[in-house]
Amino acid sequence: MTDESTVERRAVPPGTPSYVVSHQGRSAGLVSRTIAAGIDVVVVGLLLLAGYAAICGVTFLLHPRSFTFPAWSVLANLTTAWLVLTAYLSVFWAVSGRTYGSAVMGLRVVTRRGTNPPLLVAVARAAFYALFPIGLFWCAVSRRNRSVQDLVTRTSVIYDWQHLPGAATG
Amino acid sequence: MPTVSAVPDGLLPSVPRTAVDAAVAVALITADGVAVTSRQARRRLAPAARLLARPPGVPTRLQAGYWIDRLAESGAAMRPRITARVAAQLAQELDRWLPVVLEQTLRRLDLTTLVLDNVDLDRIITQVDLDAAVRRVDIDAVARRLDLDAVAALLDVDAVAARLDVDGVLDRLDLTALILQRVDLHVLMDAVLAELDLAALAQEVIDAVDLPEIIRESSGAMASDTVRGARVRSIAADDALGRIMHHLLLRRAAAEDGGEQITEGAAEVPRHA
Repeated sequence: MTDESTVERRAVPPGTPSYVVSHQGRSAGLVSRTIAAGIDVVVVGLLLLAGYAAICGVTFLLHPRSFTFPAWSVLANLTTAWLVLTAYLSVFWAVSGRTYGSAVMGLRVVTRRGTNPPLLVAVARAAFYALFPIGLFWCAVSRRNRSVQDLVTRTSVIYDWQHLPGAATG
Repeated sequence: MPTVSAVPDGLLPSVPRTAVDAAVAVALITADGVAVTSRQARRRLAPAARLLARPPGVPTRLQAGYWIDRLAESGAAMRPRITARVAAQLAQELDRWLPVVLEQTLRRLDLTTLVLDNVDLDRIITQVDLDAAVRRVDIDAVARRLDLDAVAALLDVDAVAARLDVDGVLDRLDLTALILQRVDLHVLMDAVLAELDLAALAQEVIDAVDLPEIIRESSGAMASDTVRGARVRSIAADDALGRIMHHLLLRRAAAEDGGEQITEGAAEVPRHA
């Protein structure tokens, strides 16, 4: 059951179209969540590249003569990517309920009470997403726009236009 | 005894003055006596002379007086001719001697002192028509002879310039047209640009304008608009997808009260659809 009295209400920023205002707080659809996820993937990719560049730099400084670009196995690379993605998602969800992609698209992950998910829930959800990303597409079928991960962790993703990036906040 | 001016020493330098004065006195006394005697004699002898000139009883043609009158008449008739001849002769002699006499006279006189002492120059000048005299003066010739450089050197240019109404002069000038006609703007701009430190100027403008902040704000505004647009379109896409899935799966439409909130909410079907 939803305890609406405990749900956090946030005002929409000024200039928000009325059409969007009517969606504030409602569960987000597949398109918005997919775009947000895509942005998060790009961010994680950039983080991995930055990390790889850092490792190369350190390796070069330590062994400049014998330096070669590190090459790891596919499993190691995938594992590293999965770990980074999980960490990225879980930290942001636990702290603010939003990753960078969610912030851009005006989305937020909430529990049934409407609050940010606890750390363990965030970690579990993030690990599940990183392992089974296609579960996201279940929200197109779900009546309540919930993915497989949402069903398992009892969370939901809502429209929450707290602010617009780059605009003055209320 | 009439008084006689002393004879100038230069005329008779060798004769003592006392002797000369005495001789002059004797001559005057004698002439005076003769004049008196002649008058008295004429007065006493006039009747006798008349009787002798026209004796009664004598024919007129035989009277001395008659012939004296005839002679007088002839003389009177000849007098104008003789007078003219004498005058002409006198004129000739004067023409001959007067310049010499005058020259000698003037050589001995200081005319300037004489004129200054004896002539009222102011009265003469008041009678002169100076305007007519000035009109006859060729001013251009006079001006050509002037040394204008020397005159200009004496001129106090600062005092003249101080009296000049510069604003009035400038008001009568079209400075814009003057500059456009007479100033080579390309050369001027090149000179100005050569003096300018454009890099420093640009930096100063950037610092004053806070260009980075403007770029941030504009980028932020652009980003804000972009994000807003993306969000709105994604929401619309979500709604469209929801309708499609609704039709495909034959679900119930969202509640008339606008759908469910937060975790219990479903994808809202836009009322305008």
